[in-house]
Amino acid sequence: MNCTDFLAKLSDFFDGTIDPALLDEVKAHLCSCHHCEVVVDTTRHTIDFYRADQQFDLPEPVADKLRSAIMDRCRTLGKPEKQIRFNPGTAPRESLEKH
Amino acid sequence: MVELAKAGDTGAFETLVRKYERQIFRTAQHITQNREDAEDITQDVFFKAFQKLDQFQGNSKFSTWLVRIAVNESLMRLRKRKTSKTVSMDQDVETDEGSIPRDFAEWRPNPEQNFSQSEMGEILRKTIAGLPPGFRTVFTLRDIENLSTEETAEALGLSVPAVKSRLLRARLQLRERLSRYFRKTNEAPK
Ligand SMILES: [Zn+2]
Repeated sequence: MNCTDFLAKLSDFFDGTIDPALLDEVKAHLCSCHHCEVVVDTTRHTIDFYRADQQFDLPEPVADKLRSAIMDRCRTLGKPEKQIRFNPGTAPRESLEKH
Repeated sequence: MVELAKAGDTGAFETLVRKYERQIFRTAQHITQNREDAEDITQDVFFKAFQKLDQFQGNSKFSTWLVRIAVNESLMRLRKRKTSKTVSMDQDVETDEGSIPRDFAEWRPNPEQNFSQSEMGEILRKTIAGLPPGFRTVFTLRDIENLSTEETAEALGLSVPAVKSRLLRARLQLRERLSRYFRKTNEAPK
């Protein structure tokens, strides 16, 4: 197994979905290749940093505000069948179009 | 809960909103890279979901169904913003930039010790914003939101191999870009 082969298996290796028959080969390459070892370590750190990052979280007050806006809209506008909607599949539309 | 909401119980629907609002907001924000857009999208997603509840068949998880709506809304928002450019899941997939590791510098064990929390946040945000939307989205769903490969494929309308290849490239590109900041030598980022 060379570095390119290893790289192709990297995601499966991370996700634990690697073919067991290949696992020994992958591990052997990792022991003998410092570059790939660094790639594995730093990729793992990369994923961990993004998982731990909370700047994309929704703050509670904003969540409350959004939720009440959503529920207001749902209660007032309701389900589509309750709205006055033009159904393109009905006969009146065809007759309209012909005029 | 989904069944109750389908039957018209708005209280049940509100419980669902409460359960998934964070995930939908994060997903939208990661894709659009814009907080206000993410707030609008979160509202639109749940309102659309409420209107289309009857179409939810229960073949997939309710959360995957919501994420799918969120991804579509977010990509639509990106398209509107960049009126001249088309934005799709396929955009920029041809590029191999960063997919072949070039930086083999080891990182400090805890690079976050060398950066303030806000600097760390800024680096992470800038780095993921630099990825093509298609890669960013796959990385977000798989690695941040913990969707399975199959769920991600379903939410994005992609094949499983396409998700796998985008995920690998997204991970490697992010790693490569972060290496510029976190490498052990005190070299300034390029
Ligand atoms: Zn190697």
